[in-house]
Amino acid sequence: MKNNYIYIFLIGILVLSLPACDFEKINTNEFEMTEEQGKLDGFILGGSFLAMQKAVTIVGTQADDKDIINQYQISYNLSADVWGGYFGQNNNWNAGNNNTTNFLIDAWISASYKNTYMAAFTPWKKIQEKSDNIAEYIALSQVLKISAWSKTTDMFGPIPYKKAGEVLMVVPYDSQQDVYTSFFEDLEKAINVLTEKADQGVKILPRFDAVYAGNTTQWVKYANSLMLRLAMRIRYADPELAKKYAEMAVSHPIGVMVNAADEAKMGDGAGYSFVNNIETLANQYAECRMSSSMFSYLLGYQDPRLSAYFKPSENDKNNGDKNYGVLAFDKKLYQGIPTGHVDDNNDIYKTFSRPNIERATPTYWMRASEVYFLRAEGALSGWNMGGDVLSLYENGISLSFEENGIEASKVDSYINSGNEPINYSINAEGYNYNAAAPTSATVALNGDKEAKLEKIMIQKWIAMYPNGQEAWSEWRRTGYPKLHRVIKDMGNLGVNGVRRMNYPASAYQSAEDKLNIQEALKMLGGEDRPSTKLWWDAKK
Amino acid sequence: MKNKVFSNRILLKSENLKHLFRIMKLLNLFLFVAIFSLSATNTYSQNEKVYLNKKGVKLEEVLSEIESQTNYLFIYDDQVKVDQKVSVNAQGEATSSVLDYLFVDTNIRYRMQGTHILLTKQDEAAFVYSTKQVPTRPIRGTVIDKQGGAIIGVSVAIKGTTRGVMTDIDGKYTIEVKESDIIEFSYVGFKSKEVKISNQNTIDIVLEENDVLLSDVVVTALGIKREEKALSYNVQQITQDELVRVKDANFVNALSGKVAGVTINKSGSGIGGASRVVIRGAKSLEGDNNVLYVVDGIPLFNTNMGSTDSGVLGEGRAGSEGIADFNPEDIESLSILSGPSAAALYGSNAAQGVILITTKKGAEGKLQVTFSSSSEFSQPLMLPKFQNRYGNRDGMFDRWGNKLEVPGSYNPRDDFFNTGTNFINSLTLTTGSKHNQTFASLASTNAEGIVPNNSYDRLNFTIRNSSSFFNDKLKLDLGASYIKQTDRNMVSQGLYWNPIVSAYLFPRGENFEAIKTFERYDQSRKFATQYWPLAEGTFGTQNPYWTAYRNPMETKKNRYMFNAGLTYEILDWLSLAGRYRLDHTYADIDRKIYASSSEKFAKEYGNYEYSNYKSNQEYADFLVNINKYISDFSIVANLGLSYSNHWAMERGAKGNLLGQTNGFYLNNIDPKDLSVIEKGGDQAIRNFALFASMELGWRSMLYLTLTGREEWSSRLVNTNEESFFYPSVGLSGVVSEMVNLPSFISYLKVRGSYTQVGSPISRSGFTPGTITEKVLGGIYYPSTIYPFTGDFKAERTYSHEFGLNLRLLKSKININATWYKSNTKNQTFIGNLPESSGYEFAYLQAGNIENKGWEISLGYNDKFGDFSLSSSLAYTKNTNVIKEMVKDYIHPLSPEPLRIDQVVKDKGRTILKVGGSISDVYASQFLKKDHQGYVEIKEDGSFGLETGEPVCLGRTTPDFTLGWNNSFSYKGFGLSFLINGRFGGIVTSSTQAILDRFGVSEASADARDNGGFMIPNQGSVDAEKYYKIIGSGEAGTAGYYTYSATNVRLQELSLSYTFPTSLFDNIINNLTLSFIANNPWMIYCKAPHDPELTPSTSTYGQGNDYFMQPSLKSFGFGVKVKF
Repeated sequence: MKNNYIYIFLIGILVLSLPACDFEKINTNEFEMTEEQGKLDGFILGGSFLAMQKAVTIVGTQADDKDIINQYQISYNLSADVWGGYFGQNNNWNAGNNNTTNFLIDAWISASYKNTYMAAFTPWKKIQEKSDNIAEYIALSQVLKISAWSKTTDMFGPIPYKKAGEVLMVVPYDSQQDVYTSFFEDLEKAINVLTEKADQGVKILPRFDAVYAGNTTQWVKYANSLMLRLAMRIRYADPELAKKYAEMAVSHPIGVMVNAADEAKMGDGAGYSFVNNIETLANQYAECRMSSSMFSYLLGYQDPRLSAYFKPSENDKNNGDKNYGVLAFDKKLYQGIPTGHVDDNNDIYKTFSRPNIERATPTYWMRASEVYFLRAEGALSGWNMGGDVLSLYENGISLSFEENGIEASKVDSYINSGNEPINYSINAEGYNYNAAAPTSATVALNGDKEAKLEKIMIQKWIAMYPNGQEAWSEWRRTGYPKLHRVIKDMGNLGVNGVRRMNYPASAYQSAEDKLNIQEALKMLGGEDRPSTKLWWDAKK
Repeated sequence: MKNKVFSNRILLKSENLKHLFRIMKLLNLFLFVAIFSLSATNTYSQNEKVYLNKKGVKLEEVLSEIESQTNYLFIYDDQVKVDQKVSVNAQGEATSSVLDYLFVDTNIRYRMQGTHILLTKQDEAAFVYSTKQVPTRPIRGTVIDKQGGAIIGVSVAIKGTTRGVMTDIDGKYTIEVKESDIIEFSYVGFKSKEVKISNQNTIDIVLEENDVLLSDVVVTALGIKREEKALSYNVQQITQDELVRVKDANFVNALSGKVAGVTINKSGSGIGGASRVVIRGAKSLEGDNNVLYVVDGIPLFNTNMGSTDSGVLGEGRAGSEGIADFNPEDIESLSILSGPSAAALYGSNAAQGVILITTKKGAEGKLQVTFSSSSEFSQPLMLPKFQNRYGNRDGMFDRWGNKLEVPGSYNPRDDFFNTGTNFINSLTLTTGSKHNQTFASLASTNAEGIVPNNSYDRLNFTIRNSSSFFNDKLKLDLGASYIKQTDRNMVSQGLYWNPIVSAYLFPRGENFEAIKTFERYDQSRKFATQYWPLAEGTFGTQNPYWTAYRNPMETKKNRYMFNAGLTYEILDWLSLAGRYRLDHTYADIDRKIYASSSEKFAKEYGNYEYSNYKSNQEYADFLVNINKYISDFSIVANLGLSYSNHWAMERGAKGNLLGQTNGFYLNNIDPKDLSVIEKGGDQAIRNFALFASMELGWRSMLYLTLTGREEWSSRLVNTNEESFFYPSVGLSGVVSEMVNLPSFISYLKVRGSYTQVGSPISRSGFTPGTITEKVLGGIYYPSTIYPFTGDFKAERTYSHEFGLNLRLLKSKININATWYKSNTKNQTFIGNLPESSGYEFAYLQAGNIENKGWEISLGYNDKFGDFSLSSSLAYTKNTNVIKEMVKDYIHPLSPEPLRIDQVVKDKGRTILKVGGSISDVYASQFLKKDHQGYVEIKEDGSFGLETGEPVCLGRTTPDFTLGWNNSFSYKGFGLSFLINGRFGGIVTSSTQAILDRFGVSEASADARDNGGFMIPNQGSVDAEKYYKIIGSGEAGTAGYYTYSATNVRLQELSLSYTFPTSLFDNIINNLTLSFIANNPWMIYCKAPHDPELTPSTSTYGQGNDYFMQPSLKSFGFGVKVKF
């Protein structure tokens, strides 16, 4: 009899311990992918390329819901897109103390750092681990990494670059000069590899390439154009190096982008549909509207791209259907939001001109028209850019018209109109602001070298819309286009505006971090403030 | 002899004399007899009373004790064996009875002569004293309580004598009786019972509880009742009366202030919301630190459907919690084990303390039906102070306007909030025969919140059957419950989906009546669209009624629970038990956003979100129970195995509608706008454990408890420590039984225990072989978390506690005090890695969080004729300190040992660092100061903010809390009230900040009346500018909106009358009517909101009000009838 109890006890143990064997399965998230599963059809490797492409300017699909959009908003839209002069914001976050009034919010700049640096870095590391050293994979991953990290250094200055990716808890920073030098070296290497593969007709992971569907030749064009853009950026800091790489890019056998079809963008591709972030910000959040600077330039020049870029202002249904817009050449009313205001979020500003951006509008990394303007600027400095300043400039304008679906016939009259930007003013239910036209520059490329530079920059700025990150960098580098100053300078930055973002507080966490950042600040050559100029911000 | 020397009794004046006598006795016994017999008088009757409680001591000791209490003197010679061991328990018995009992089975006889008692060996003819030798026979039986539970330690005594025994662990006893004896059963806290012996051989007794229950027997781990004196840790017990006197839809709230050591924060989402219950402080940095609930010995995963927090933006979805589903009428009693001592039996989750719930069982006897009903009506307890003197600028929501010619009359309290209602009805039924008892209950809770269209409804159905077979050796316990619960618009805080935002901010120059018609027919669209002429952007404000009625969010939950338990008694000291419990929840969750809502929430044709939630928990255990007395020792041991398995998941879809306007079904969602909801893949956990506990008792006065548990958790699979062991040791001694204490001390117990608990991390999927990465929309999201290395271990809490339980003046006064200290080490940190490492986070294990404090409860119970009173104070003090962060941690990413000095939580609101606490709150934005420290006011009168070093504002936890619970009764009338006080700590208010910014607060009107806001020592600045700068409601500027959280309130009040049974011809046994008030009066509070409200049950995000629903005061009536 007694033995029976022992049996019962043992059986009990057995029954109870059987399910324990499943621990590994229980502990595995069934709604996610294990490494083994990710090997099927090369998903982890290919998916890492797609993940890098998504990170160049963060974009997501419908599946991401609002997550990526919100990240884009705080990483780019409330900083570069505003400081670059494209948008005004119908909101006064943190009671008006926020990036749009030069008061930098840590959570936002930390998002900028994360979404330019980290977002590309993790998949880049995966590619290095999983690619079996296939040269074109490494090369393409370098091009993508530089596409993303050039934004980080342009935002902050020194970044960890050369040692990044090594197994280190504290990675030393590199000066911006070193970072750029490395960019060029790495780009050159990558371009050489990709050129060879392009010549052999090799396609790179077309299933996971949302930009060029595996077309290696197009990647070379993009990489050359990127090299040109980066070279131009350091024109005032290191003219020789700038010239070397600008000319190398343009003179490359495959060369830079020349046609609208060359442009690099994230829209529909590789079977995915990427959603334009700005659409939600404008239409659902009602926060992103035409800036007063855009208003002055587009309405002043009677720019045919006006209606391609912005929608007419709407009626204010709460105030007798009034429309606060200004009548433009196209017989429609447009209005922009005053730059750097601290007014409460309101339904007045909400009625102002929304960006004419749809959900399916691609997010552009670089448009071919930008490349013409880069070449025009290079030619203006006497570099060999495969064309003269005027023709490159005018080609840029006409290509931009083409890119925006505007008839070529309108180009000449646009260039020769003699129109100037106009004054900005609103008088709406107690919101009264005026701002003079930022400049009297016309479109026609005349005047001295500086006047020409301004016009090239203005036209590039208009053509690049809404790539705020690039606009802000080029505005800092050249001082063009001239933009309206903030109404309330909550960050006390004065006329110079925001020259960089200070490092997020997370960079100062541990004692080791603090030592590390001290080194970075030495390289920066100034205080960790938004007023400190970057290395390439050296125009006299 | 020692006790004579040190005894302080007045009667012992002849102490030395007695001693002398004894020496002389040895010289000539007979001479003494001769002399002293002459002086014998009746002064010393044989009834002089003695108080004795001795077990297994030498007879000599008992005799000298009697001598010390009386004037008697024992005289005996060497032949009388006074070194034999005896036990005696006499409470005011006549000395003769005591002696009868003492000598009954010995060869000693006594004879009382005056103050002398002569002891002789039986065979000495000269001193023969013969007791009447009546034949005896044994009687056996079991003593149980009304719920069928065995009562341990009941005194079973022959009336008029001191002969008696006690019941054992199963309530069993055997006693030798003579014919016509009367057996008296008595036990503290129960009404005594007498049974006259006729010719029966077994007598089973059901004892009824006294009105005032003393916590002599408590329900402890595994649902076993234990003698309180055996416990080495603090256990506090609460009766069901305390839970149901003033009912709350979530009964957990009724515990507040009634037990020491427990901090309860009520949900800001209104009726039925999830409460945050923390015992002895937050211990884990990454866990939620809430208490573990155990129902009938089985741990319960307190599911809350993913979230209890609607977030600052309202992005989340607040809900109820699993424990709130329970019907308080089904609960028999509730014990709170505030220390982690029960962890050996319940596992890791018990590290945060345990609330043990014992549910009712059927009882033997005729059918008894109880019906109870309560109706409560509620209103906001406290609201922010609003103004009505200044309007807005015409038609504009957010602009400050001029002083109104006629002050407005809008007041959210009267114009927006409804009277909330809560109707709770319950019916319970119990019946049973000797071998089969059944309990059934049905209860409904129907509540409407004060916010329009906010409701909580619940139906509970429970049935339980207990039966026994094979001479009661096999016991089967079966139970099943079904719960159907629906809630609508439970919002705990936040900007969106929260109608109170626009109700509070409503511009004071506008007409609120007009917007009450919140939708108006649109001729062109053919349906009624939102009427809201006052749109405002930042907060996505909508017409508050539209938000309530046309953005409804509903959860419909069905929950089934089934449990079975089988116990088999092999020997009277050995039993086997197996139990199983299944708990399954299924819920449909949806949110419908009607067309014409703010574009933030829906596009033109509306928006729909639907998901279903499933959770499953299974628990099984198998136990070997040993209860054995071996001479002076008792052993209670449990050896067990347990298995638990839990998973929860949610799946659904959401998106803007296309096609049919307001067509709320998934097929009507724009396919280009559809996103998937798929959560819970990381929730599964399976656990397997072997555990043992042993309690060793010595003479019912000294107890040693040892426990140990070896646990295998799925969350540690493939690590170097796949299983972990944790032990505990405890010692408890009943001092009052060991030494003589002054008579006013009825009971004194001291106890101490040391416990370790291990707990695996709170999420699955971080260990080697189980790491997964996200795929979303078919796109790969490489993980940014540094993968775990194998040395991952469970967190460990090391705790010890010391306490005493003291009862004074015949147990009228009860004192229970505990000091404890716990250190939780090997904390799991989510450390931020520098972005340049290629990873965002790494999980590290280091650190040390210390909690220490006091739990003291003080009770007083007394009776004066028909009047009885009971009063208790519960004092709780906990101090939480971070003793160590990450220090010298070896991580593969770092060549140097790693150090992390601080970790930022809750978006910078909390900073964890050494010396701080887990609930510190920081602010980092301040008015910009000039070099002299004054606010920098520029020439144009403007001033601004600057970001500075974070400044600690305080902690959101109290320094201490005090609850004072009282009840009085007089002939059927009952009055009870509970006053709760919380002292120390801070809260912050984003609500107040935003009200100031919108110019609708009284403070903003005052500033305008005074011509501006007065900055101390600097003069006044424009009020609108000032409030628009600091009134962001963000955590950064919380320094300007920090308040003391100290508050004192009347928490419960009830007045009842129980009609005499005779009034209803004994058909109705018990009819009680009561008036009840829940939270009726805030006596002291300087914060603009109720500091005890919380938007969330998680560790961070406490202590800020971001448009939480106000707490409620409610008044109502209750009826209870028994048939």
